[in-house]
Amino acid sequence: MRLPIHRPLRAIALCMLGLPAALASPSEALQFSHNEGEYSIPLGWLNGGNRAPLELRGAEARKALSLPVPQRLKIEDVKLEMVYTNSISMLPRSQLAVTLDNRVIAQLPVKAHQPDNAARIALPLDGFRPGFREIGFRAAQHYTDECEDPSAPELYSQVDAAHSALRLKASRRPITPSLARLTDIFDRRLWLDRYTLELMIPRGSLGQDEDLRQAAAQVSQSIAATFDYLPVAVRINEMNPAPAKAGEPRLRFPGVQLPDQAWDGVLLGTRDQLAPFVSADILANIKEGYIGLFQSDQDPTRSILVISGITPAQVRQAATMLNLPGIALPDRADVSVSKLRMDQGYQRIKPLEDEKGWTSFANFGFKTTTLKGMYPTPARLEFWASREMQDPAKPFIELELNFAYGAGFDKKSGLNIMLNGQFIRALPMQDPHGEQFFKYKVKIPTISLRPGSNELKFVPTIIGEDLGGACEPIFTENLLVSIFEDSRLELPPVADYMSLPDLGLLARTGLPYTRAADGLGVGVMAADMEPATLSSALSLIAKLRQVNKAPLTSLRFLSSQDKLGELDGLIVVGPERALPEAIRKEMTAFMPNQRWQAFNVGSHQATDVGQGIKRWVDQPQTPLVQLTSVEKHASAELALSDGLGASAALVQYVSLSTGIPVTVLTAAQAQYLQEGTQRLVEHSTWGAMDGSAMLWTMDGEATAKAHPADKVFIGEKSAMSPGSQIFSNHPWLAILITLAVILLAATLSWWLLRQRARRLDQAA
Amino acid sequence: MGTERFRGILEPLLARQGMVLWLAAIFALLWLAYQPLPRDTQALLVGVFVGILFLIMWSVDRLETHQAREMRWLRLIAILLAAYISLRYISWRINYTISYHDPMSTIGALLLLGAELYGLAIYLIGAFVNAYPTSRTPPKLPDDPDQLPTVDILIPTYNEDPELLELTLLAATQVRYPRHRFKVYLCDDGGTVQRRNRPDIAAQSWARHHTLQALCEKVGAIYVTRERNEHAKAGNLNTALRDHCRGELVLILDADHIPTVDILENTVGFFLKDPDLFLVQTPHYFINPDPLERNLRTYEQMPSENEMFYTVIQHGLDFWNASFFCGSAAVLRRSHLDRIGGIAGETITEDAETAMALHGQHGLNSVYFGKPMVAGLQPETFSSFIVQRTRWAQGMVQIFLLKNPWRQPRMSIAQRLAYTSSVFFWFFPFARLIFFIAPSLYLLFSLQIVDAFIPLDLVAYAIPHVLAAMILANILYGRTRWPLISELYETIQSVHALPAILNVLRNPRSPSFAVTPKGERLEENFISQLALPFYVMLVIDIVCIIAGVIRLYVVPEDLGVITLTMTITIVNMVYSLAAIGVMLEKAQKRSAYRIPAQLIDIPATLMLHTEELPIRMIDLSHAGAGILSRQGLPKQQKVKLRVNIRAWDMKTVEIPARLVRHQYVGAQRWELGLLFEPQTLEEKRAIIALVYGDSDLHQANQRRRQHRIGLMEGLLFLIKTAFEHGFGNFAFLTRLFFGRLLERLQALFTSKQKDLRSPS
Repeated sequence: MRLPIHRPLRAIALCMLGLPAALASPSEALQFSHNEGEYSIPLGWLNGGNRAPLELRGAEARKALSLPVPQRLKIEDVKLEMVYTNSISMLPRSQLAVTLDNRVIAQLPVKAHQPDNAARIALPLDGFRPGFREIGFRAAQHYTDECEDPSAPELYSQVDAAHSALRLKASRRPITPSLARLTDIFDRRLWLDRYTLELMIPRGSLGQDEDLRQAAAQVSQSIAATFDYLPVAVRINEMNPAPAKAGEPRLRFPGVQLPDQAWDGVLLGTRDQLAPFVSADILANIKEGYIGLFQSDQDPTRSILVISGITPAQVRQAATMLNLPGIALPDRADVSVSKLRMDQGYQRIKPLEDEKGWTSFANFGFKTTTLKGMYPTPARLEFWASREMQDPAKPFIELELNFAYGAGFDKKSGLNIMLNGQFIRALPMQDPHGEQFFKYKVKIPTISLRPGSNELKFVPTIIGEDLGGACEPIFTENLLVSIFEDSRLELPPVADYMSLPDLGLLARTGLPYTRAADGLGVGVMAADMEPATLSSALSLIAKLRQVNKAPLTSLRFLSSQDKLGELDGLIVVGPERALPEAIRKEMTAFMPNQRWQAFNVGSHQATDVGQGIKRWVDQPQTPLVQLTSVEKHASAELALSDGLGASAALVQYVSLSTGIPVTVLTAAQAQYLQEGTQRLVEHSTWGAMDGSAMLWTMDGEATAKAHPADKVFIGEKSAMSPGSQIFSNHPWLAILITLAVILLAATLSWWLLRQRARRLDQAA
Repeated sequence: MGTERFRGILEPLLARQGMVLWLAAIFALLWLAYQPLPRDTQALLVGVFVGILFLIMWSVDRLETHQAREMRWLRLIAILLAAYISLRYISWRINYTISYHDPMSTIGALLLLGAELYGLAIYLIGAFVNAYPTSRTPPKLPDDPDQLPTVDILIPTYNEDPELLELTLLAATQVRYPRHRFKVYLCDDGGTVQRRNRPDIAAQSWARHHTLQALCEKVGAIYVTRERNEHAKAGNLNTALRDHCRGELVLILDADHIPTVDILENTVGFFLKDPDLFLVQTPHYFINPDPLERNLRTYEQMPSENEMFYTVIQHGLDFWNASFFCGSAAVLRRSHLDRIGGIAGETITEDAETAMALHGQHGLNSVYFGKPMVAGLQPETFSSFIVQRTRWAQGMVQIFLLKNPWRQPRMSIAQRLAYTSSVFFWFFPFARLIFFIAPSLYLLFSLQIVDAFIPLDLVAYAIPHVLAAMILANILYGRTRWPLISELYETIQSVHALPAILNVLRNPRSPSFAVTPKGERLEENFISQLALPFYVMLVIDIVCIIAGVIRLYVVPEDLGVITLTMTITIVNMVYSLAAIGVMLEKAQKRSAYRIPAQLIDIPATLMLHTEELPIRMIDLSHAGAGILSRQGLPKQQKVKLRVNIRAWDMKTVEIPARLVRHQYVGAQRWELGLLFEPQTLEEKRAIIALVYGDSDLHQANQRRRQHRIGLMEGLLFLIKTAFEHGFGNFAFLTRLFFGRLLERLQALFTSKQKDLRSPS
């Protein structure tokens, strides 16, 4: 019997192991592993880390995953180890094919009597060119040879995303020292869960000069930007000049020792500072701002990026230039930067208003979109808003949607509108002849808005009138929904209005430190000049750059000795003991009780008339007595005053003395600070930021959060007057002030009227 | 020009620091009222303020009598609190509840908003006018009679009964004022040359002419008439003034307004103090119920409709020097009247027009003295009531169009507002109609005229606004107008006044003066001929409620708006039912209305030959009296009532009478009914002085019915009255139907019997 193996495959090792997938050792998290040039990449890792199996449903189904292939690696062997399960209703003519960039690599049998399968497929190396490759799965599935319902539920196969993996062998290629190919060096296609930027500086140099600190900040941002959303931790390596030894071969970077596990290094300093660490040839080229890319002396597959200049300002200029997006560098190893002029304090681009209070989708960057088929990808729109920006008396914002849908929609079809993941409303699409809507009005509750960026999603549920069935094909070509870009949203002129403290806002948008897109007016202060502190500060700056999606070229990286000047926002990083006294005092007031924890230990019934009335207003048909009974959690609270321990803390508050927002990143010791910062910039910890303060452990788990008792509003907004804002937040103040004004007006009226009455009496 | 005028208004205001501060406080309040707030904050804010209003309302009765000064301050606080709540409501209505859905919905929404804005304007201006009501004390008159101004008392008449006129003339000729310093003129428009020459009415006019001439001669009055009936009442009065009267002051009395003896004593003094005074107006006090009071049987318990105007509003207007001439019971200075060519006659409300001309063009002053000093008659039937009110409505709209207070050169801002309040009020039929049809626009036609989240917005905005308006009205007017009664009066007038007002709007000079019929007798119960619209309104309300119930099943998700519109419909239905109750005209056989006499001590005995029985007066009328005696007497017994007449400084007189009624009321007490049988003119005069001559008696009777009730009490009273009398109307109709049916059947049966008996 001939195995169904695709001809072009020359080296095939197909092994029908026939072992149930359940026997494979379970793993809690999707692990990407690397050992001695051998990589194991679970398929789920390629699917955003999702452990869910890849589902292939219907008579004809396809799924594809994108595999990044870095330039720096030479792939020597690739095998796909697949664990999959198929329906037991399949006919023998069913099959599952594996493709690479749409080219079928292997065809696997699908057998009804053998639902659990495993296969190992050798993939052709010539297909793994640098870039993004597509690993695909195609299923042709049948349960009968007669008329068949192509959407029959028994037509399915699943590929286990957690246990299926690509096994690769790859070696590093020698670096090609070309600045034009810098993105091949600092490459987000590298198979990494996180990247550590090794910043190598002469000992003590960052403490001496703010320009050099700024340069370090710029280069950290620059590298973080190339890695897009991948967590980047910066590690400061202070170098000591090594005494020259006779007989040593002539090196480019004498005294520069890259850590073993590091990919590359960045060497930063003025020419004089770098003189002990850099060869004379390179030094000779440093005449002004300088950027150079070289192979490491230790290992030609690793690189050293040199950022230098005669003066610290030139170093900063070179680093800043590197941080600018869209700058084309020449195809050579080094370049000198003679001039850089930049505007400062520019705002994020705001959408234009079409008419007062209304902004069209087009001005939010939304293009007319046609969604096709039964399960189309939802259309998305991002806009900037917060509940506080809105008129408080108006509990909704309006959306005027222009959309059309095709013919033959079943009555169950609808266009679901979601705001920030919350369902808002479904628009029915029930006319079998199709329809066009112009200015379909939808009210979006402002309570669903979150501060900063909001996502409006249009998720169609499209069901054709013709549902298929045995011998009845499904026609999906007319299942079309178009959302037009001249739809519009009622929003006040979009501004950077926000309430603070809000670490969640910082995590999502970088605010309040990204109000000016270039970070103007923002200072990041390192409490001391210890490498761990500097590393932490630079890691945080790098993360802000990723969140901001634009270079923070005007952001200042300060030492505790620097004059703060006119700052709009401050971030302080340092071990607890090194923090400036004023900061430590203010911060403590906003810290959660250290090691504070609360537990729910049960619940109990309580009567709350106020709450009952509130609920009754919402559902007046329910008797009030039924609503006054509320369930309350019984809780236990625990506070241990034993310091931060091995935790790191992030605290945000609005300084009472200066009135500016301050965020403090701290830990008991520098070591914990550095480790804690590395955890902080990772997705799980960064995404968990919320409230006004957070403590987390060295494994990245947030252990305590604090929520502010009072919020301070900053920024500009137009829909709400300051009075309205104050009264909305302090209703009793509104009552007292109004009552005071009424009493004043009544007393004045009484006095004036009495005077008139007296005049009348006298006249009479 | 406009800027200079604006500056002219503003400069005197800003010249005073106190005024500047007051303006600043008012602007601050307006600013606060405009601030958008979340719904829960709004609910808390207005909830607290409504609570304060309730407290003020609760304490107002006690404070009004004991701490008047504090009460004035509390009134102002209440006005500002209520104004703030209502301004917040209207700001929310304008900014958040109007949006475009379709053309008809938009028209409906704007109409409703317009009606609400009208209501708010009237409510706020009314509050301003009544912020600081004054009360006056009459200045003392000089002892020397020759220093008193001469007075002409003018009694215009057209078709009134001579018996009625005799009462008025007798009372007018015996007012307490030096006899040589006043003359009484009966200005007869029913016996003019023109009418006497008209063949169809010549005999009747001649008879009237002679009768009234003889009457005047008998009582000491002067009969005057004229050639032609031109310019109605104003023309009548002006002719008398021009051709006959030379007095310094003119007292004008309607034919049915019987004056008390002190009417000149209490009014003339004001003219001696202020040479720029052109008018002293006094209240119109009525001794009979209006059709609503009679048909709903509310006269004995509820204050009369007009009392709010004469007991509260005119005092408020007086504070702003804006009390105006009401056509009767008013003294005017002849010289000032001549400056505008006499009583104005361009509109059919000549009284208000005259006052506006003298206020607005000459900057003269007016005074309101609030003691009732005439006893008048209300229209007896709903038809005559509507004739009267339609004339007022048309006349006021004419003034609004032809004599707008904002175009008068010499009026202060307060006077302009006061006149605006008086004139603009008469547009209420439009608002009332819109409020009536508004719920049906949704229930029957699915129009979206208000965009609101129900019930949350109701709790936060609408209910506090309605409550605040009702509480403020109760604080300001509660003694004289019970809650929800104004709306009932407006409802019964709106249907018939609306076409008349539209007619004036189309042609402002078209209306003609219609004399209000007075002294009619209703021999038996009947349904008013003007009733049909109210039955139609009730049917519409019922259809709306049925539609609402259907909607509850069909669109249950609209529960909030359906509940709201059905609630409004039910309120409308209550008013429709009450109006239908008013339409059943109850029999009124008495022409001489009894005046309660128990509140004032009237020393009296009953003379039986030589025996003298002590008695207590229960009530009085010019035809007889009700008394309480320790002894029962047989009917038809001739007696004499010996009584000390308060109006005549307790002078003792004996009035011949006959017993016509007796009833034992327990505890050795008999209630006896006397019929006066005056033999001489002096005895008639004594009766008039006894019954109508004492203003203290009128005042005591008026105050007896003036008391405040709570909002819930008012609501229950309205519902009870509406259902009781509305269904009474239907019961009457049913009886009528079956009575007629029985008559028909009997007639049919009789004719059949005849047919059977007939030989053929």
